[in-house]
Amino acid sequence: MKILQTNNLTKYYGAGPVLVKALDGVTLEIEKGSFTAIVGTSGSGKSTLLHMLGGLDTPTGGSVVVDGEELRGMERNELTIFRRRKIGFIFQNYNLLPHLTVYDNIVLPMELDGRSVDTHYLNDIVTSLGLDDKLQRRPNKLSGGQQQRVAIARALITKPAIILADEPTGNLDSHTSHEVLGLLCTAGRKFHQTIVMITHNEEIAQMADRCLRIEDGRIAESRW
Amino acid sequence: MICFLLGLVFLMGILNIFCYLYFRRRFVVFSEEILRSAQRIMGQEKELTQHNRETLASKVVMELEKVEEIVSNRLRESEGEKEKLQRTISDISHQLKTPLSNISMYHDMIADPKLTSDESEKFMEIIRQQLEKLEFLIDSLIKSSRLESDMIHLNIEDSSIFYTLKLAVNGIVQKADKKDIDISIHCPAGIKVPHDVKWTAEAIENILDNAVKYTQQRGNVSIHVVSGEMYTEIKIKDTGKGIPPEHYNDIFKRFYREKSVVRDEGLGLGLYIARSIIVRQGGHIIVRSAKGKGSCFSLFLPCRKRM
Repeated sequence: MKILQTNNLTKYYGAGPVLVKALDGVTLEIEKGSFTAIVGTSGSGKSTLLHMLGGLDTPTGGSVVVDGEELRGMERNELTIFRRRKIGFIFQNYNLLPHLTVYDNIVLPMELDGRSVDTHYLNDIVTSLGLDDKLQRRPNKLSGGQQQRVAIARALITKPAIILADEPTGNLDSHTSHEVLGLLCTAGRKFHQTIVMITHNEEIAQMADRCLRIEDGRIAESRW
Repeated sequence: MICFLLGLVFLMGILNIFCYLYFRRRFVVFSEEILRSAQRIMGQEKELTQHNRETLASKVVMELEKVEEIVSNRLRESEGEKEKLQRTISDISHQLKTPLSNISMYHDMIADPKLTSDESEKFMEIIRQQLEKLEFLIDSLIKSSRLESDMIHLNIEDSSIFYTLKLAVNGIVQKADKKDIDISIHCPAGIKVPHDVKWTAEAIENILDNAVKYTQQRGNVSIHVVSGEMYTEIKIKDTGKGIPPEHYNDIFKRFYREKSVVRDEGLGLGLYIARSIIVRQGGHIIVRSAKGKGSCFSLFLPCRKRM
């Protein structure tokens, strides 16, 4: 079963002689429950692709279909709710809110959606990620690896069908990277989530079911 | 005055009835909406009209769809398991067949009265070898099937990782000696990790066995333990022939044998069992290697009991 599909996706910046083709006709399909790694040099268009998949950016041409819904036709409001309920984001620089505690950061997506927090599930996540004794701290008092674990917990709390991660271990050392990714994979398997992750580290890409290489805005290689 | 009060009470009564009817109506409409959606979801349809709205019905419907998703996913998984099991059975019978037919063939030859005693001794030796192979095969199969069917109860306790490593190395030291391979352990003193000593030693031994098998004479195998915040990493590095990156995932599959090693003894179960053991303890294994440059297996064991 396909959960993510793009058809001839393009994104151009500028015009005429300064036209930059960030994405130049990307057609791909991603299976439900799979873990896909996207590799490629910086500037190859991999972040742009991820932003398109999550509806964070609008394409110049082509379509993105997530779980049977075409993103193009959605209004701003709809898109926001769609993202909140269906997609969990993890960024390289964590994007945690510094004035909120770890706990408040994690449950934020639930509160935005006006839902009560499933305490049992929350406990499960925070113990899995080793955050149970850090819930009342501020993010800036934590190490990089710990902050990224908070970001993972925040992405998991709504049980999203898809997790999009943009170089989640870019700022972490090799051992911590493996720790964080190991946790992400285990959680993904446990909650039947589809993970799409950008990385420049080939070693990390081997943990994925499938590896896509992007070059100059196109898919250059697709390895299973 | 009294008339006025009575009138007021009467009016409020009417208002109440209207309010009741109004909210009842809305509740009925809401329930009907949910029921209709639930029925469509049961038929595996998407209820797109209810998606991405800030309404209560939308929230309920999207949660229901998620539940349906997870349940049908489990169903698919269990069907996949069934298929896998059938494949395993056919694999197993295939694997057992070769030694069995060998044994029966040599047995028939021994029955020949014209055989010299030298020849019959040779055949007996071959039969013995084949029996050993059969035993090894059945042993590994039992282990893997017990791991698969969750029949093994892992006894996870805080124990010294050094002791476990020692157990694993003891099992392999003879084979390493034969090839003059040096095995070294670098482990900070007193590291304790919650793990099942017996089975983890088995997993490590399987990886060491592979390392020794594919490392040439007078090579090196080193074990490093790195203690992290969430996981303890056990790195097993050899100077063997290495694994090309495109086979990183294959080597952990059951019955996988790389084409260039098909003639060597083995079944393709060792790494599969190792991975099952580590994953069942909440950990994972990754490989770093390049052809001709040796391999490095990293086993990550969680520092706390979880998942």
